[in-house]
Amino acid sequence: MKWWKHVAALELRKILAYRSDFWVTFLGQILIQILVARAFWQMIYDSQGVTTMKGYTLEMMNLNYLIIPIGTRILTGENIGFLAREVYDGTFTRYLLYPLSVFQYKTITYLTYSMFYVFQLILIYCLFRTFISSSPFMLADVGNLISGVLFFFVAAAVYGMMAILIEMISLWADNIWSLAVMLRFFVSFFGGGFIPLTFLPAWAQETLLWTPFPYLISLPVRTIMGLSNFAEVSKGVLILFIWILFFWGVVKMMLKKGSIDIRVLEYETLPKTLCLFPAFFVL
Amino acid sequence: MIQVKDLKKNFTSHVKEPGLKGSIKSLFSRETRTKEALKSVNLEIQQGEIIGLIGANGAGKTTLIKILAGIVHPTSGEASVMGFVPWERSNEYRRQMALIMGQKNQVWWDLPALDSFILLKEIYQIPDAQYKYNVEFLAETLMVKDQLKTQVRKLSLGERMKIELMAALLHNPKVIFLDEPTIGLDISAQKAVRVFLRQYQKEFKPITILTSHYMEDIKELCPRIVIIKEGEFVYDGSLKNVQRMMGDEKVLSVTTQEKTFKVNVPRMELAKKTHQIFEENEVLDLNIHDPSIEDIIESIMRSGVTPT
Amino acid sequence: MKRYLKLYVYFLRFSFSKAMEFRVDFTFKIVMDILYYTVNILFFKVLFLHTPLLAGWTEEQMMIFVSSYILVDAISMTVLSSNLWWLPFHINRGDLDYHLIRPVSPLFFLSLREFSASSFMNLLIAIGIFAYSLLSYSQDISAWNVLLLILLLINGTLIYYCCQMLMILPVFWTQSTKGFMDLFYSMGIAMERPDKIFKGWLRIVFTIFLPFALIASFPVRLFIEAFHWPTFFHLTAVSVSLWIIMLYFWRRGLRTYSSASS
Repeated sequence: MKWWKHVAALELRKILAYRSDFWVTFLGQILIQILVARAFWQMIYDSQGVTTMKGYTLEMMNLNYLIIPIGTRILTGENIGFLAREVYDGTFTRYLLYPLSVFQYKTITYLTYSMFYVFQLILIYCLFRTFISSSPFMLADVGNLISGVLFFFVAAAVYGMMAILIEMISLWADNIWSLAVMLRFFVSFFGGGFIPLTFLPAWAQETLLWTPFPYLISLPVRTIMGLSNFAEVSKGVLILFIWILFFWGVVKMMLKKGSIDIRVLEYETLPKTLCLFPAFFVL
Repeated sequence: MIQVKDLKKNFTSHVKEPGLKGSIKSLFSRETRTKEALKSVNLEIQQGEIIGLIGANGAGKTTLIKILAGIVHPTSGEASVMGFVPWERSNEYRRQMALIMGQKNQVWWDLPALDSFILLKEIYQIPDAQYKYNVEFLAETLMVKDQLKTQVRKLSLGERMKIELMAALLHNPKVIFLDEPTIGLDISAQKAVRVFLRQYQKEFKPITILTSHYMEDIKELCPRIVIIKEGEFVYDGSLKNVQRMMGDEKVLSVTTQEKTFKVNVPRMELAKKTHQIFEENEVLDLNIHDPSIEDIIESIMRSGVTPT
Repeated sequence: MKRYLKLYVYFLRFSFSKAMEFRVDFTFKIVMDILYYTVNILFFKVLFLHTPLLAGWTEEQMMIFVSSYILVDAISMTVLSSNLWWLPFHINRGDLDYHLIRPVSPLFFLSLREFSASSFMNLLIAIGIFAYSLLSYSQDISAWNVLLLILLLINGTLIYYCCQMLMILPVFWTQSTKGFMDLFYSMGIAMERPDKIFKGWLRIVFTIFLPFALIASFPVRLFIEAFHWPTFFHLTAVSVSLWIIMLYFWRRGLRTYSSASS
């Protein structure tokens, strides 16, 4: 068996380690979010007396908010503050001992989590289609689901690059946890995770088209819902690839800068500095 | 005074099969396993006494100490420490008790020791005069006067342990539980802690229960020892008497070309055994001596010889 | 009581002297929370582009609501959050030992020990937003009303604390509480929506069993709309019982801790 299969299996076992955790995460959280979103939009549609708002019927809105929490997890994996946290609690050294690059290792764990959430999405999709005849998932067909999930994986690559950039700031700052949370906020809000992007003023929507954000959440979700066409998707993927290249460049630049700073770093921050070396191997 | 009667403690834990399959299975059903950490133990300690609690890892030493400190609830049995039931955790009891665990910190990591002490003064409501005297006395005997204003995390392991001792003893506890206070310290730091503990015992006469892996600690501090093995007391008595337990045994230390080893031999068979060893090995050196306390305790812990 | 106040003063002193060491962290945290506040305000601003009323509230009324839950969030971030963040780890690793042997309430110690000095700036900003939303309100408001709102929001913080504790306490039995904590954070969204949207059994859940709607929405409703005794009683009764239930589970948890730890 290849090493990455072992890593993936290990991560899966971690997900399954505590059963209360598992069930609560697997079902509870999604349930709360969808219920609150449903109630909220129901009230807005009712009080307005309309059936469609900005291209969304209430039913589509519900589907949107059902996919978003799972989609966001596919996007973000389980990586918040990973380097910084492991450096802090001293578990980071083990990656320096393993005969493989830390970024490869981390990518595998990231993807394991993403795959797990894809599984969750599929399961919920099947459950809804089988048992709830009026389910919002009736709007989505299998082809859309597959292309949407694939889209999410491309988006995850971009998100991963952004997350790594933030991790690197831990060279200079003690706690980048708040930065990582900030990134999530940005991505959620400008990616359409809080409110569909069509609700934003026209100028804002147009500006966002040049940023990676709409392609991280909004467009993949719309793809699953069957609301996007081929041209939109291919343009989205293209723009995402440009952003990948851009972030790659920035990461490289930061590594150079980081190596200069290593000399001025005090002894206490040395372990943190070490986490850069595996990065040199990859890039 | 501490009285313990028929104290029992069981732990249950979940068993999980290895592998992904086991993980998935445990999402739905789990097996449990019960372990007896203490099997009905009895103990009586008088005020001013200091006893050494000896046993291998997992023998139940820490469990017993935690029960007496009120942290752990026993499964059954009774205990009374100066008239208090420890696990009821009354404030009066907690004000007279101290617990020091060599492997856990209680002082605040990011603050100088003195800051932690001030907080403890407030928590235990130590009168000003007593607080001043104690800080002075403890810092002096432990020789850490200069370290009190340094952040604790910047101190060495030995200095930190001394600070821990100070923190635990500021309120003049009448009962002290010391769980491996010298673990991880170098020889001179160990010695300093021992000297201090003896001095403290002399000055304040508390009840002290001490556990340690280092026989040196026990030999120097505890006239009375309790040996615990797999949750049972196998010896409770004076340290000196422990030698008598082995009766008439002698120890042969043998060095041959290949190895060095020790054999316990009843005195009556000494000649026969020595002869046999000489016949079977090419002996370079052979010594006959009385078993040391370490040897005896080690052999009790290993084979569980019960006192005769 | 006086002793506990005195202890808290020490906590404050220690926290500020500690915080001075991590200045970069300081700045990040401030920016993060400003971002959180902005995103929340923007969310409702965008919605009001498409509707004149939301749950019966106008935009300026909604801003009072938003600034209210921002205030609750800021208070709990400053006073409670770092304590509660670490609490499940402490319980799980058996670090409660030293707290149990002290003659002082472990709950007090563990909930309030770490005052988050780095969030203190955010508390000031949140107070600023709150004051601004009240000052720019076009209708007359009495000082009494404002005082009542503030008191009820402080009570709201306590409700928030109790809800969070109830999500943390399972750790005594399950050994890991990540799932429940994540659940708590995602339930935070119920605090950020007007209570009127919840109907039927969902309303019962969020106003009685997991009373997130009582944290900011009820107080703001009592403030904006005419004072309504049944609402006030509902709020008081649920707050008190929640507190009692939380304490009950805390004691049960400690009992379990002490029979399971080794």
